[in-house]
Amino acid sequence: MMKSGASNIELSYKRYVINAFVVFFLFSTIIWNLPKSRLRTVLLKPVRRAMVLLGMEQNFVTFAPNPPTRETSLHAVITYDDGTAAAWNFPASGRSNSVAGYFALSHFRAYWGHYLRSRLEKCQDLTAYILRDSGALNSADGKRKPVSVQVFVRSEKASVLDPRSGEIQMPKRAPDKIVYVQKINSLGVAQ
Amino acid sequence: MVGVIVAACAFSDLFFGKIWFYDACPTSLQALHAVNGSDLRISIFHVIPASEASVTVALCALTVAALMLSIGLKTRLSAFTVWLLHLSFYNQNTFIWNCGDSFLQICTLLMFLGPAENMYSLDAWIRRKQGKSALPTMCEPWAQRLLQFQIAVIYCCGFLYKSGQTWMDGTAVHYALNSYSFSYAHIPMFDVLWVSQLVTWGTLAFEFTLFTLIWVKEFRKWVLVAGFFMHSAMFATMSIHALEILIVASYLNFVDPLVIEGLVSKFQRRKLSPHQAGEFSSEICADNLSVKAEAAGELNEPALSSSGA
Repeated sequence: MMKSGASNIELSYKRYVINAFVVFFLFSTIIWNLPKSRLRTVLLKPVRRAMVLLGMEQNFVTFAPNPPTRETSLHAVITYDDGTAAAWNFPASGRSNSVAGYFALSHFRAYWGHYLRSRLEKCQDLTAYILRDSGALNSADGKRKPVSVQVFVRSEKASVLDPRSGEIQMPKRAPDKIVYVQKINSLGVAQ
Repeated sequence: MVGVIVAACAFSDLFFGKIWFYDACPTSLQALHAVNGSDLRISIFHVIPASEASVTVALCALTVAALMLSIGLKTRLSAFTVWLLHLSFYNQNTFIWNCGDSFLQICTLLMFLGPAENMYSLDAWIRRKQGKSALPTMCEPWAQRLLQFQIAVIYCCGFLYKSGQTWMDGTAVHYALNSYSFSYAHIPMFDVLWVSQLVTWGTLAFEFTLFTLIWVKEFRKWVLVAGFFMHSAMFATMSIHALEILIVASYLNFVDPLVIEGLVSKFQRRKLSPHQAGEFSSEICADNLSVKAEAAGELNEPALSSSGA
């Protein structure tokens, strides 16, 4: 009898915990997904930290309100002390033609879209990555050394489909936008 | 399925994605963490310093735990490990994920909290083989209901937030499939206005049914079939990481448990001799009937299975 009583208490305790979690889950999921408003801010405040802690962040809006109509990509030109130059492209710049390729690039694409694109001016530590990734610090002949890195963004507008006539218009390509130029010292460190 | 998808993602990160979690990241991780503000986040990398070696070991552990979860071996422990490690990687660099990864994170949490091991798992099979009392195969499906609710919310957001001009005039699919970030190749068919409009408005209609009509038992099968074809088409033409596979796999949560049980029994019967098959099905029936009798009056359904979720 004692054992049965204890297990009943344990069962009801477990039930309370599950009920509380279910209420929390339903409430917080709805609130997080509401459109941005004062009500959302007020209601989300008490539950947001718990949601982040448990890994319940809700980011499910894709192609909304519109799919992207402009593609931006990151590129760099590395200039060497012998006057030669080499081009470098951020891995997610351009179309990959394989599922494996996209699998490999998915982090790059998300990182470019969610973080780097809007903070490029502040991310000059990217230069070190460009030098590493391009192999500029270990050039095959071992003689030439990088002296500067010019980072720029290329922007291409998608072809426009006219919703009335159904005609396709090809937009002109915008000029590349130089984000920054960094000099590299003799030790291969950006200055 | 969740286990298999996590294992595939972790395995892919072992080869292509390690750099995102330690000093080799293109920009400083401290700067990334600073953007997240003062949010308290769970991560093993608060305790173990993130280096190439520790990231490699953690990714290997995640792959193994995810595979264990998918076959239902030490299910609760492996589900907890998958949740913890997946969350650790998620929090180590929050800017490299997309909506599929967020959904995966929620799935792993519910797998860990729900009774995932009770039904179709190696744990349950081992218990039966060892002659131990079987875990209850009928229990309150709260974790499964929450997952269903989450899926409906995803479609609801997908439908309501697509309020831009291109969705209204039917050209959205043309732009989505012209984006080299998402599509594998340019498909000229979607440059034709009526094709683009048909697919754009069709997508909205399917998304609408996937959070409304899906709750009506009579329509559910057809809604799921439509969703399956929509996601298969998207999977064939666009890359949104694991989202398409995961969403389609999560449709299993909406399938009538008796249908799944019927399929499993059919499969078991095919593998057993006719005599054994008869024994097996009567065992299942007896088991279910006794549990149903015990729990009469309660809302019971087969437990969330590790292979089913």
